[in-house]
Formats: sequence, structure tokens, C-alpha cells
Amino acid sequence: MNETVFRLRVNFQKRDRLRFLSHLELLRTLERTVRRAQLPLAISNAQNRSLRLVPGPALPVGAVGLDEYFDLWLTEYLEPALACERLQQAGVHGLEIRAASYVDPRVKGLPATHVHAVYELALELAADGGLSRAEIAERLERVIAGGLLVIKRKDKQKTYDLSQAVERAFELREVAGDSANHVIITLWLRTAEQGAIRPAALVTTALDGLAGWELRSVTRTRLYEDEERG
Amino acid sequence: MRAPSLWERIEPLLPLVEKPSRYLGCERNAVTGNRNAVTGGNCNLPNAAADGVYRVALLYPDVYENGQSDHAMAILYHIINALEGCVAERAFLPWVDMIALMRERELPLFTLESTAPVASCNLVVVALPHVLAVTNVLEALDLAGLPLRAAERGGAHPLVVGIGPVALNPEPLTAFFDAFIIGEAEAAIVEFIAAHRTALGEFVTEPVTQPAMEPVLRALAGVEGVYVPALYEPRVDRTRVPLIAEAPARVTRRLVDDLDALSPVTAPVVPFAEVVDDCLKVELSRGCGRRRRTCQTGAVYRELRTRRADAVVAAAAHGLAATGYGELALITSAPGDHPQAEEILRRLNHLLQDTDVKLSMASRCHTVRDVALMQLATSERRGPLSFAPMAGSVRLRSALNIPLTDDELIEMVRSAYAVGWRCCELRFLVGLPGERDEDVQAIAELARRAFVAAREAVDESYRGGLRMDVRTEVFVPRPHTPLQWAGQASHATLKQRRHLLKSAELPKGVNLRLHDPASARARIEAALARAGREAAALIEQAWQRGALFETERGRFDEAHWDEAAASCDLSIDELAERRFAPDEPLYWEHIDSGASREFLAEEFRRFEAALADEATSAAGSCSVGSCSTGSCEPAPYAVGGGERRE
Repeated sequence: MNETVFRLRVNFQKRDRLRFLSHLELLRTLERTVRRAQLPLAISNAQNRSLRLVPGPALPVGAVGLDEYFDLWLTEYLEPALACERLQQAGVHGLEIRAASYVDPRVKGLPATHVHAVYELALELAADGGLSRAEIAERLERVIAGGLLVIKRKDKQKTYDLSQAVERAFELREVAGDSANHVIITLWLRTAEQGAIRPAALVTTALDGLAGWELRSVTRTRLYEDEERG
Repeated sequence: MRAPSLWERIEPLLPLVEKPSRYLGCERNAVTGNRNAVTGGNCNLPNAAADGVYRVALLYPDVYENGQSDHAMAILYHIINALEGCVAERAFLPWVDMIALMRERELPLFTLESTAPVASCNLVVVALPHVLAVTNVLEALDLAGLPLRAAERGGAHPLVVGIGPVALNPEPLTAFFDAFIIGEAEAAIVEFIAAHRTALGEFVTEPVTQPAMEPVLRALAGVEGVYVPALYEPRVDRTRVPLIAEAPARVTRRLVDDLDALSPVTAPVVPFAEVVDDCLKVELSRGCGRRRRTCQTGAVYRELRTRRADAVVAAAAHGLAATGYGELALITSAPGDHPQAEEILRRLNHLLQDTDVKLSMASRCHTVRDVALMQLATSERRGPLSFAPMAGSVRLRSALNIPLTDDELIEMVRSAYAVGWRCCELRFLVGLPGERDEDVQAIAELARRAFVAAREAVDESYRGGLRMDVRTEVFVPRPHTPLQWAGQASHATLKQRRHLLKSAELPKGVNLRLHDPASARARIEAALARAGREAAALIEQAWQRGALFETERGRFDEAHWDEAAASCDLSIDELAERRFAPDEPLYWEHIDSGASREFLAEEFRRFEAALADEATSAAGSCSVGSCSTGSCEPAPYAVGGGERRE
């Protein structure tokens, strides 16, 4: 690798239509954005030359990310504000660059450190009632207390240990909508040994069999490391 | 024409389908109604279809991943968006999961830029990349809410025009299209749109009361290279007689004469989804002067046109800055076709040094020089290098006008392995007219000899990792080629050819990738490629029975076509295998492809003469065209026509 001195950590938001990108598609979009931004990119000298960009933990497809990160290795110091400006100019609609700062090049990668996340899930409840806030809370508590969550996707099955994955008690709050009531569920989750649990899977499992609700959105509002917890 | 965005109805479907990124739009360099945002270089916010502009839907009848990488559509997008008062919007056929949801919720096919209905555009330009896409075209038209048959559409519908290689014999599709642009559509699209806008007049922006179709069609028939089927009377003898003075007796294909005059696409749309060729493409050259007798491109676009080195390098630099792509691919039929190829590659390598951008060339090697150029054009990680001898024996290669001896091919392959390639691909056709068992056995023998040479060319420590792919495809006779009169080989013959190849003894490391045992797709291709208007019912019936995405793995079902043929009183085998007599009129003779009937007939005669030339075959030397003396120089092209159009 050519002289790599600077590791820029960029904080961004993935929103609007971009929330439907997979992790791989987001990575490709970020790589193309940093090339367009004409930053002094560090390129590996290995057989397969490549720029060094490492994104944070994956977001589920369809989820908005308000506090996402990626690390980028540069060969020259560039004022973080200027880097942000160039990245924003080179970006696409839905990719909002919020801030950037340099971190020690020797620290562990984002997927290893940023394992704590806060999610907000918006549920729309049928206007004629049926499903109450208390019922939602009771169902969620029951699933979490069960300790294990089994998720089946296509031919695969994965079991999550909820005692590890759920970090603290969830919160529920109501939001009045135009024609229906909305409930916001806030979850504090941690990437466990089995990987990151999908918050939507947790909620849909909890409310399975109940009518009168629809999951409208999933938003990761915060992503942070151990020291920042609490 | 103004149309509302359907985004609010599309969005709830996206969590329910595979790869929702196919349907998002808003990619970098996509042009929406707000042009200032584009020229300013900022990302674009998708918005409703702009008011007061002429809107063109560029419809690719396949999924986003296949269509977004189509360079011809990218060129049209670039040209149309540069026209004052015009916008081009892309539309792709959604995958089956999305189609089912859209039909269930009565959501019409939409364009990505405005998410407005395709049917709300003034013009729908449909790419026709290959014959098997025809059922996808019907699915797209139906999903758009348009009547399938042109005769059932009227002034309130957009005009539907077909472009691409399949339009060289438009007859099987005439029922579904209002018009076709023959040849390279970018050469005619500006005139076409101008004529259409003039004919529409004030109706461009007023969708409620559109003018009658006939004056519009008359105006379009006057544009050179445009075929308007409704203005021709099909005769029993397969000729087409113009009904009005504006319609030419023969429609001449359009051609971009000067590649340098065609501005390269330096800011193509950068997809989110991974597409087939996910890279910046820059054309080095167009056309092919090799005139292989099976090749439609070589017959129709034989004029070699190159882009200047300065223009190629500038296009690459601007394109990479505008897209951020990690790969630059040069497009040409052969690297050695461009007289400045070395200079271009040297300058591009210099441009890309110290970056992570890879250089590649989408091309096949025909000479040892091509191999050397490919070496300059590839990065450290090399994919297989492709060679296309097409036939295993010199006898057949000579008949196909491929001046290549076994030794020359082996030397090319050897040189490729010697400079670092670890895998090469040899491509062949089977089922060629006049093919014998020994020609097919020669494929395996040639591959064996080439692989032995490859092993000898590399250090012993690398030999275990060498590979060679031998790929065979079924010969499909195509219109406007010298072999257009020949039929496809029978199913039994093709099966026997496959068996012959499978039973050949090949060294470890040589992988046979043989044609489909049933050869079913190739038979449908052959049946439709040279059919007339009777095939419209066959296509429609096959589509109604579920024929869709016929080139996708696991989708093709021959029964759809057999049942459809039976319902139309047609036979796929008869259509595929039929031979035309030399003096028999052909369905596509009202299309002037630049290669005259006399020329093609003479080439066919030479093909047959070369097959009969046993002395040449036995000697293993090369006999090209009428020459059986061993010279590889092709005979002059313009025999009885085929002159370059001005």
C-alpha cells in the first residue's frame, strides 16, 4: 500500500429511496462517490489494486440510517469539512454527509466496534382500534423474555439469543396520524455472536397473528461503540 | 405531456420484492425534469414528469441489470436529453415478483426518472437486442396498459418504435410496432423525433385530444431508415409494396458514418444495482471488416469506424470523473482494428496508474497482435481471453471466410498463456451447413492441441492451474448474411454433434461447455429470425402461455412455443430448418442492409464452393472467399452492390 497515514471516519445518513439499497449496493455507491469526490485515496499495491473503504454494520434493506459511518484511508491530510463538502457534491440523493473526523489508523474496524444500535419502528394501527399499546408491549415482552428468536429466511434458519441481542427494555410511544394511530417502538440492540438481529423480525414475530397493524418504517437512529453506551 | 408520479404506489411494493434497487431511479447522472440540477453536477431529486416537454420512454424489455448496461440505450439517452424540449426516461421490464404485484394492484409500467406511466410518454423506443426478447416486449406493452397490436392503438397512445438488431427483419413484429428504425438508431433518432414532434404539433403537451395516427405515420415514413409497416401492403410473394409516395420501396439502414462526430457518453447513469457490465464503456471502434459468413454484424456494419485516440482518452477521463466507476472497458470487435490501439492503451494506462480503476477490453482475439494488445488492456486479475475460431476444421473455417489455420490459432493461444493468462475460451458453432462428423471431432482435437501448446508455454509450476473452456453454440441462420438461405440443422443432428463432442477424450483442464442438449432456444431463435408476419400470432400465443424472460435460467419452457405453434398451425422445426431457394423472395428484402442480394448470393455460392474444395481441406491450408490458393486476403466486398451509403 502506498503511504497511508490518514483514516477519515465519515458520518452519514442513508435515507429516502436509498434505504432500499443492500449493504453491497451501498458499499459500491460509497466507493463511486469517493472516487468522484477526487479525494487523495490510498490504494493498495497488492495484486488487485483497490481503495480502502470500510462501512459500518449493515442496515436491513428498507431501513433508514440516520447515524451511519464509513472509514476511508487517505494519503494526504484534507480538512474534514472540505472532504465532507466534496463527498456531498459527489453523492446521490438520499446520501447525506453529516460530519467527518480523523481516527487512529490502528483502531479496530467499524463492524467490530460499532456494535450497539438504537432502532425506531413505526407501526400504523387501524383507526377502528383492536390492537392497543398495552397488547403490543405485552407481546414484545413475552418474546424477549423467551430468550430465543428463530428466524427462517428462504432455506436458512438462524437462532438469536435475545438476552445478548436486546440491551435494554424497549420503549413505546404513540403518535397521532391523519387517519390512523401510529406507535413508535424504540429498541436497543447489540450485534451478538449470531450476527445482527433484524428489528423488524423481532416485532413481526411478536405481533404474529394479530390484525390491525402494519409496519411502516424502520430507522436506525444511532450506532455507537462500547465507550459511548448509556 | 404531464403525468403524475406513481411513487407513492410503487414504494409499498419494494419491501416485498427481490432487488428493490431495480426500481428506484434517482441514480447519479439520471436526468429528471429539473435539468439545472443535472448540469450543475448535483444529484437529482426524482419528480413528476415535466410539463410541456416531449417525453421519450427508452424501454428495454428485460430486467434492470441487463438493460442498464446496454450501451446503445445509453447513447440514445444522452442524445435525446440534449435536445431542447425533450426528455428521455428509462423503463425496464420488472422481474416476475414485481410484475405480479403490479398487476394485482393495477399499477402500470413506469419510467424510472419520473415514475410516471410509460403510456404517458409521447414516444416509446423499444430495444430489440435478441429474438428471444420478443415475448418480454409484449409483456412490457401489456403492463404499460397499451394495446398490443399497433392497429388497436390510436392517437391517444404513444408511438411505439422498435430498434436494434432484430429490426433487420421486422416482419414477425410488425403487428406490435408503429415503426422501426433500421440500423444504428442514434443516426436517425433526432430526425425521427423532429418529424414526430412536427406531426404532433400542439398535441405534444395535450394528451386529451391527439391527432389521428395516419398523418403522423406518413411523416415518419419520410425519415430515412424508418420503416412504417402500416404503410406497406404485404403481398403473397413476400414483397412489400409502399401504399404512399413518402414510403420508400426499400428502407435503407442508418449508420453513424463518423464515430468522432458522435459525442461519447461521458456521464452515463451510474446504477445502484449490480448490472451485467458494471463499468464505464468507451467505444474504440464500430463495425467489422472480417465478413465471416455467419455474422450479421459483419454483413450489415462492415464499415470499420474508429474514434481518434485523443477523443477516446478524453472520454475515459471525463467519464471516470463523472461516474466514479472502478473499471473502464473499451469496446471494439478486435483490439487490432484500431490503428492507434497501442497509443490509446499506453495513454490510458498512464491515466489510471496510481488509481484503483481497472482497464479492460470487451473483445475477441483474432491475431497474435490482438493478444499483445489485450495484455496491455488488462489489469492484474485477468478473466478468460476469448478466441472465436467458430469451426474446428480448416475446411469449414475457410467456407465461413475465417482465414485462420490450426497453427495460427495454436500460436495465438500459446502466446496468451505465455504472457500470463491462465484461462482461455474457444468458441465454436455446431450445426453449420455442410458440417460433417470430422469437422466436429476437429473441435476437440484443436482444443487438445491448443491446450498442450499452452502447457508448454508456461513454467511447470503453473501447469496444474491452467484451464481452457471450449464453448459450442448452435448455428442460427440470420437475415442479411450469406447463410440466410440455409436452414438450421435438425434436432437429431444437433444431438448427435453433442454426443460426438462429449465422447471426445480431452486433457484435464479443458472444460466442454456444450450447447443445450435440446437446442430448444436456438430453434426458437432460428424459427423467428427468418419468419414473416405469420409469426406474430405465434409470439402472442407463446406469451399468453407464459413465455417470458426466455434467456433466464430456469425460465424457458419449450412447451409454450410448441403449443403456440400448434395453435397457429405452424411448426417450429419447419420454420427453423427451412431452406430458401436462391431465387425465392425473402421476407426482409424491403430492408436494405447495405449488403445486396447479389452480393450475399455470391458469398453463399463461395461458401458452398469452399465446402466442396476437398483438396484445400486435405492440405489444411486456407481458402478464403473465391481464393483457394492459400491467400487470406478477403475478396472485394461490393459484388453487385453493398456500397457505403452517404
